[in-house]
Amino acid sequence: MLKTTQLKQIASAFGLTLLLLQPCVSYANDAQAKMKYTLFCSGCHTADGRGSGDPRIPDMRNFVGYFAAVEGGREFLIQVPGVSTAPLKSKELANIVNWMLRTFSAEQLPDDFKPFDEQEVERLRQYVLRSELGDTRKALVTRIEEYKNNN
Amino acid sequence: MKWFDKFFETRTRNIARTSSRRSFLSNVGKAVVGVSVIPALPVAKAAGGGASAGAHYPGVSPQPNTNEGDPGDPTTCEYWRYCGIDGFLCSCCGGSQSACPPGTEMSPITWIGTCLNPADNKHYIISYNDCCGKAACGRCFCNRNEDDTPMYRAFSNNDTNWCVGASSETYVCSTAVILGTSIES
Repeated sequence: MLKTTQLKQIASAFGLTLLLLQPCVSYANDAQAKMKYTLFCSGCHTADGRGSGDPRIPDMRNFVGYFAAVEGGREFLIQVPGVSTAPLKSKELANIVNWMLRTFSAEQLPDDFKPFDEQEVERLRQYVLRSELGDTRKALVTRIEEYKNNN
Repeated sequence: MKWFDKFFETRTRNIARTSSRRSFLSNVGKAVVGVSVIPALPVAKAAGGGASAGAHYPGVSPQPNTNEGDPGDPTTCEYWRYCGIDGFLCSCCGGSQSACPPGTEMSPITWIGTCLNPADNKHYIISYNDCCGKAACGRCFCNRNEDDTPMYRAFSNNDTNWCVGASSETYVCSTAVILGTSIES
Protein backbone atom coordinates (compact mmCIF):
# COMPACT_ATOMS: atom_id res chain seq x y z
CA MET A 1 0.00 0.00 0.00
CA LEU A 2 1.21 3.49 -0.81
CA LYS A 3 1.32 5.98 1.99
CA THR A 4 -0.55 9.27 1.76
CA THR A 5 2.70 11.21 1.45
CA GLN A 6 3.78 9.03 -1.47
CA LEU A 7 0.42 9.55 -3.18
CA LYS A 8 0.77 13.29 -2.70
CA GLN A 9 4.24 13.19 -4.24
CA ILE A 10 3.00 11.24 -7.24
CA ALA A 11 0.06 13.61 -7.70
CA SER A 12 2.26 16.69 -7.55
CA ALA A 13 4.76 15.16 -10.01
CA PHE A 14 1.87 14.40 -12.38
CA GLY A 15 0.54 17.94 -12.01
CA LEU A 16 3.97 19.41 -12.68
CA THR A 17 4.33 17.28 -15.82
CA LEU A 18 0.97 18.54 -17.08
CA LEU A 19 1.99 22.11 -16.35
CA LEU A 20 5.28 21.66 -18.23
CA LEU A 21 3.48 20.07 -21.19
CA GLN A 22 1.04 22.99 -21.52
CA PRO A 23 3.35 25.22 -23.65
CA CYS A 24 4.05 22.23 -25.94
CA VAL A 25 0.31 21.75 -26.52
CA SER A 26 -0.27 25.42 -27.33
CA TYR A 27 2.78 25.44 -29.58
CA ALA A 28 1.39 22.44 -31.47
CA ASN A 29 -1.99 24.21 -31.76
CA ASP A 30 -0.29 27.34 -33.12
CA ALA A 31 1.73 25.34 -35.63
CA GLN A 32 -1.44 23.58 -36.76
CA ALA A 33 -3.34 26.89 -37.01
CA LYS A 34 -0.53 28.49 -39.01
CA MET A 35 -0.41 25.52 -41.38
CA LYS A 36 -4.18 25.56 -41.94
CA TYR A 37 -4.15 29.34 -42.40
CA THR A 38 -1.42 28.94 -45.02
CA LEU A 39 -3.38 26.23 -46.78
CA PHE A 40 -6.90 27.67 -46.67
CA CYS A 41 -6.57 31.44 -46.20
CA SER A 42 -3.16 32.78 -47.22
CA GLY A 43 -3.81 32.35 -50.95
CA CYS A 44 -5.86 35.57 -50.82
CA HIS A 45 -5.01 37.09 -47.43
CA THR A 46 -1.25 36.44 -47.97
CA ALA A 47 1.11 34.88 -45.43
CA ASP A 48 1.39 37.98 -43.23
CA GLY A 49 -2.26 39.05 -43.48
CA ARG A 50 -1.60 42.18 -45.55
CA GLY A 51 -4.23 41.21 -48.16
CA SER A 52 -4.07 41.69 -51.89
CA GLY A 53 -4.43 45.46 -52.15
CA ASP A 54 -7.95 44.91 -53.46
CA PRO A 55 -10.51 46.46 -51.04
CA ARG A 56 -12.38 43.14 -51.01
CA ILE A 57 -9.36 41.51 -49.33
CA PRO A 58 -8.32 44.18 -46.80
CA ASP A 59 -5.22 44.38 -44.63
CA MET A 60 -5.83 42.50 -41.37
CA ARG A 61 -2.63 43.65 -39.69
CA ASN A 62 -3.20 45.89 -36.63
CA PHE A 63 -6.89 46.07 -37.42
CA VAL A 64 -8.79 42.77 -37.36
CA GLY A 65 -8.63 42.66 -33.53
CA TYR A 66 -10.91 45.72 -33.32
CA PHE A 67 -13.81 43.61 -34.59
CA ALA A 68 -13.69 41.63 -31.34
CA ALA A 69 -14.11 44.89 -29.43
CA VAL A 70 -17.32 46.24 -30.99
CA GLU A 71 -20.91 45.02 -30.88
CA GLY A 72 -21.62 42.54 -33.70
CA GLY A 73 -17.93 42.22 -34.56
CA ARG A 74 -17.44 38.88 -32.88
CA GLU A 75 -20.23 37.39 -34.98
CA PHE A 76 -18.83 39.04 -38.13
CA LEU A 77 -15.41 37.40 -37.63
CA ILE A 78 -17.01 33.97 -37.95
CA GLN A 79 -19.85 34.75 -40.37
CA VAL A 80 -17.73 36.19 -43.20
CA PRO A 81 -18.03 33.62 -46.01
CA GLY A 82 -14.33 32.76 -46.10
CA VAL A 83 -14.49 31.63 -42.46
CA SER A 84 -17.98 30.18 -42.13
CA THR A 85 -17.85 28.14 -45.36
CA ALA A 86 -14.24 26.96 -45.04
CA PRO A 87 -13.96 23.17 -45.35
CA LEU A 88 -12.75 22.90 -41.76
CA LYS A 89 -14.22 21.64 -38.50
CA SER A 90 -15.43 24.26 -36.04
CA LYS A 91 -12.70 23.33 -33.56
CA GLU A 92 -10.02 23.95 -36.20
CA LEU A 93 -11.70 27.19 -37.28
CA ALA A 94 -11.76 28.48 -33.69
CA ASN A 95 -8.08 27.63 -33.38
CA ILE A 96 -7.23 29.43 -36.65
CA VAL A 97 -9.28 32.57 -35.91
CA ASN A 98 -7.75 32.84 -32.42
CA TRP A 99 -4.28 32.44 -33.91
CA MET A 100 -4.98 35.07 -36.60
CA LEU A 101 -6.25 37.59 -34.06
CA ARG A 102 -3.22 37.06 -31.81
CA THR A 103 -0.73 37.05 -34.69
CA PHE A 104 -1.97 39.91 -36.85
CA SER A 105 -3.63 42.20 -34.37
CA ALA A 106 -2.90 41.33 -30.71
CA GLU A 107 -2.71 44.96 -29.59
CA GLN A 108 -6.16 45.80 -30.90
CA LEU A 109 -7.89 42.98 -29.00
CA PRO A 110 -9.95 44.21 -26.03
CA ASP A 111 -8.58 43.46 -22.55
CA ASP A 112 -11.50 41.17 -21.79
CA PHE A 113 -11.18 39.23 -25.07
CA LYS A 114 -12.31 35.64 -24.70
CA PRO A 115 -10.92 33.25 -27.34
CA PHE A 116 -13.43 31.52 -29.61
CA ASP A 117 -14.26 27.93 -28.79
CA GLU A 118 -15.71 25.12 -30.89
CA GLN A 119 -19.31 25.56 -29.66
CA GLU A 120 -19.41 29.30 -30.35
CA VAL A 121 -17.97 28.88 -33.85
CA GLU A 122 -20.36 26.04 -34.60
CA ARG A 123 -23.33 28.20 -33.55
CA LEU A 124 -22.21 31.37 -35.36
CA ARG A 125 -21.21 29.74 -38.64
CA GLN A 126 -24.75 28.50 -39.20
CA TYR A 127 -25.41 31.94 -40.64
CA VAL A 128 -23.29 33.07 -43.60
CA LEU A 129 -23.05 36.75 -44.58
CA ARG A 130 -23.69 37.03 -48.32
CA SER A 131 -25.35 40.02 -49.99
CA GLU A 132 -25.29 42.07 -46.76
CA LEU A 133 -21.56 41.47 -46.23
CA GLY A 134 -20.41 44.88 -47.52
CA ASP A 135 -22.99 46.88 -45.56
CA THR A 136 -22.35 44.91 -42.37
CA ARG A 137 -18.64 45.54 -42.62
CA LYS A 138 -19.15 49.23 -43.32
CA ALA A 139 -21.35 49.61 -40.23
CA LEU A 140 -18.80 47.75 -38.11
CA VAL A 141 -15.91 49.89 -39.37
CA THR A 142 -17.90 53.02 -38.32
CA ARG A 143 -18.36 51.45 -34.87
CA ILE A 144 -14.63 50.68 -34.77
CA GLU A 145 -13.79 54.32 -35.55
CA GLU A 146 -16.05 55.44 -32.68
CA TYR A 147 -14.45 52.85 -30.40
CA LYS A 148 -10.97 54.10 -31.31
CA ASN A 149 -11.96 57.70 -30.58
CA ASN A 150 -13.29 56.72 -27.18
CA ASN A 151 -10.34 54.60 -26.13
CA MET B 1 11.24 -33.27 -101.68
CA LYS B 2 8.06 -34.67 -103.13
CA TRP B 3 6.33 -34.71 -99.76
CA PHE B 4 7.28 -31.02 -99.38
CA ASP B 5 5.64 -30.05 -102.69
CA LYS B 6 2.60 -32.14 -101.85
CA PHE B 7 2.23 -30.57 -98.41
CA PHE B 8 2.26 -27.01 -99.71
CA GLU B 9 0.09 -27.82 -102.71
CA THR B 10 -2.59 -29.30 -100.40
CA ARG B 11 -2.41 -26.35 -97.99
CA THR B 12 -2.61 -23.77 -100.80
CA ARG B 13 -5.51 -25.56 -102.48
CA ASN B 14 -7.32 -25.76 -99.13
CA ILE B 15 -6.90 -22.03 -98.53
CA ALA B 16 -8.00 -21.26 -102.10
CA ARG B 17 -11.08 -23.45 -101.70
CA THR B 18 -12.18 -22.05 -98.29
CA SER B 19 -11.47 -18.34 -98.77
CA SER B 20 -12.30 -15.81 -101.42
CA ARG B 21 -9.82 -13.39 -103.00
CA ARG B 22 -12.06 -10.57 -101.81
CA SER B 23 -11.73 -11.54 -98.13
CA PHE B 24 -7.95 -11.87 -98.57
CA LEU B 25 -7.77 -8.34 -99.98
CA SER B 26 -10.00 -7.03 -97.23
CA ASN B 27 -7.78 -8.60 -94.52
CA VAL B 28 -4.65 -7.14 -96.13
CA GLY B 29 -6.42 -3.76 -96.20
CA LYS B 30 -7.30 -4.01 -92.50
CA ALA B 31 -3.71 -4.84 -91.64
CA VAL B 32 -2.35 -1.88 -93.63
CA VAL B 33 -4.82 0.60 -92.11
CA GLY B 34 -4.41 -0.87 -88.61
CA VAL B 35 -0.64 -0.55 -88.65
CA SER B 36 -0.85 3.06 -89.75
CA VAL B 37 -3.55 3.99 -87.18
CA ILE B 38 -2.02 2.45 -84.03
CA PRO B 39 0.70 5.13 -83.61
CA ALA B 40 -1.99 7.84 -83.87
CA LEU B 41 -4.00 6.52 -80.88
CA PRO B 42 -3.68 8.61 -77.68
CA VAL B 43 -2.19 5.73 -75.74
CA ALA B 44 0.63 5.41 -78.22
CA LYS B 45 1.21 9.15 -78.05
CA ALA B 46 1.52 9.03 -74.28
CA ALA B 47 3.99 6.18 -74.47
CA GLY B 48 5.95 7.96 -77.16
CA GLY B 49 6.21 11.07 -75.00
CA GLY B 50 3.59 13.79 -75.23
CA ALA B 51 3.68 16.78 -72.88
CA SER B 52 2.16 14.67 -70.12
CA ALA B 53 4.67 11.87 -70.37
CA GLY B 54 7.83 13.55 -69.27
CA ALA B 55 8.95 14.54 -72.74
CA HIS B 56 10.39 17.93 -73.34
CA TYR B 57 8.67 20.71 -75.09
CA PRO B 58 10.44 21.35 -78.40
CA GLY B 59 13.25 23.83 -77.88
CA VAL B 60 13.29 23.48 -74.09
CA SER B 61 16.35 21.73 -72.73
CA PRO B 62 16.02 19.36 -69.76
CA GLN B 63 16.83 20.90 -66.38
CA PRO B 64 17.38 17.88 -64.13
CA ASN B 65 17.47 18.92 -60.50
CA THR B 66 20.72 18.03 -58.78
CA ASN B 67 19.24 18.58 -55.32
CA GLU B 68 18.36 15.14 -53.95
CA GLY B 69 15.63 16.59 -51.74
CA ASP B 70 13.86 18.17 -54.70
CA PRO B 71 13.97 15.47 -57.38
CA GLY B 72 12.78 15.71 -60.96
CA ASP B 73 12.91 18.06 -63.90
CA PRO B 74 10.90 21.28 -63.44
CA THR B 75 10.42 21.60 -67.20
CA THR B 76 8.19 18.50 -67.26
CA CYS B 77 4.63 18.10 -66.00
CA GLU B 78 5.69 15.11 -63.84
CA TYR B 79 7.85 17.21 -61.52
CA TRP B 80 6.43 16.51 -58.03
CA ARG B 81 5.56 20.12 -57.16
CA TYR B 82 3.23 20.36 -60.16
CA CYS B 83 0.62 17.95 -58.75
CA GLY B 84 -2.09 20.62 -58.89
CA ILE B 85 -0.86 22.83 -61.72
CA ASP B 86 -2.92 24.15 -64.62
CA GLY B 87 -1.01 26.35 -67.01
CA PHE B 88 2.33 27.05 -68.68
CA LEU B 89 5.46 26.21 -66.70
CA CYS B 90 7.55 29.27 -65.87
CA SER B 91 10.59 26.94 -65.95
CA CYS B 92 10.08 26.80 -69.73
CA CYS B 93 9.43 30.53 -70.08
CA GLY B 94 12.62 32.12 -68.78
CA GLY B 95 11.75 31.78 -65.12
CA SER B 96 11.93 28.80 -62.77
CA GLN B 97 9.65 26.66 -60.63
CA SER B 98 9.76 29.38 -57.98
CA ALA B 99 10.52 32.58 -59.91
CA CYS B 100 8.74 34.56 -62.60
CA PRO B 101 10.41 35.31 -65.96
CA PRO B 102 12.00 38.77 -66.24
CA GLY B 103 9.48 41.46 -67.11
CA THR B 104 6.58 39.73 -65.39
CA GLU B 105 5.07 40.23 -61.96
CA MET B 106 4.11 37.52 -59.48
CA SER B 107 0.48 37.70 -58.47
CA PRO B 108 0.16 38.39 -54.74
CA ILE B 109 -2.88 36.14 -54.46
CA THR B 110 -2.76 32.52 -55.45
CA TRP B 111 -4.14 29.05 -55.02
CA ILE B 112 -2.51 26.72 -52.59
CA GLY B 113 -2.41 22.94 -52.37
CA THR B 114 -0.21 20.13 -51.12
CA CYS B 115 2.03 17.72 -53.05
CA LEU B 116 3.89 14.63 -51.91
CA ASN B 117 7.66 14.88 -52.24
CA PRO B 118 8.95 11.44 -53.29
CA ALA B 119 12.37 12.22 -51.79
CA ASP B 120 11.20 12.26 -48.15
CA ASN B 121 7.57 11.07 -48.52
CA LYS B 122 6.26 14.26 -46.87
CA HIS B 123 3.45 16.50 -48.04
CA TYR B 124 4.51 20.06 -48.78
CA ILE B 125 2.34 23.16 -49.05
CA ILE B 126 2.72 24.50 -52.58
CA SER B 127 1.66 27.95 -53.74
CA TYR B 128 0.86 28.11 -57.46
CA ASN B 129 1.58 31.79 -57.99
CA ASP B 130 0.76 33.01 -61.48
CA CYS B 131 3.16 35.34 -63.26
CA CYS B 132 1.45 38.22 -65.01
CA GLY B 133 2.59 40.44 -67.83
CA LYS B 134 2.05 41.15 -71.51
CA ALA B 135 1.31 37.81 -73.20
CA ALA B 136 0.78 34.17 -72.30
CA CYS B 137 4.00 32.15 -72.56
CA GLY B 138 2.46 29.25 -74.48
CA ARG B 139 5.18 26.69 -73.71
CA CYS B 140 5.01 23.52 -71.61
CA PHE B 141 1.30 23.41 -70.85
CA CYS B 142 0.44 21.12 -67.95
CA ASN B 143 -2.91 20.36 -66.36
CA ARG B 144 -2.76 17.87 -63.49
CA ASN B 145 -5.57 19.15 -61.25
CA GLU B 146 -4.84 16.99 -58.19
CA ASP B 147 -6.60 18.60 -55.16
CA ASP B 148 -8.32 21.06 -57.49
CA THR B 149 -11.75 22.14 -56.24
CA PRO B 150 -14.77 23.62 -58.06
CA MET B 151 -14.91 27.35 -58.81
CA TYR B 152 -17.07 28.08 -55.74
CA ARG B 153 -14.13 27.06 -53.59
CA ALA B 154 -11.95 29.62 -55.28
CA PHE B 155 -8.99 29.43 -52.89
CA SER B 156 -8.08 25.98 -54.17
CA ASN B 157 -9.29 26.23 -57.73
CA ASN B 158 -6.73 26.32 -60.49
CA ASP B 159 -8.99 27.61 -63.28
CA THR B 160 -9.13 31.04 -61.67
CA ASN B 161 -6.96 33.71 -63.25
CA TRP B 162 -5.01 34.73 -60.16
CA CYS B 163 -3.55 37.70 -62.04
CA VAL B 164 -6.57 39.70 -60.87
CA GLY B 165 -4.39 40.69 -57.92
CA ALA B 166 -1.49 41.97 -60.05
CA SER B 167 -1.13 45.20 -62.02
CA SER B 168 -1.54 43.32 -65.32
CA GLU B 169 -4.35 40.80 -65.55
CA THR B 170 -2.72 38.93 -68.45
CA TYR B 171 -1.58 35.46 -67.41
CA VAL B 172 1.94 34.46 -68.54
CA CYS B 173 2.88 31.25 -66.67
CA SER B 174 2.69 29.42 -63.32
CA THR B 175 5.23 28.74 -60.57
CA ALA B 176 5.12 26.21 -57.73
CA VAL B 177 6.64 27.75 -54.60
CA ILE B 178 7.13 25.69 -51.42
CA LEU B 179 5.60 27.40 -48.37
CA GLY B 180 6.28 24.70 -45.81
CA THR B 181 5.47 21.17 -44.81
CA SER B 182 1.95 20.03 -44.15
CA ILE B 183 1.52 18.50 -40.69
CA GLU B 184 -1.19 16.00 -39.87
CA SER B 185 -3.95 17.03 -37.46
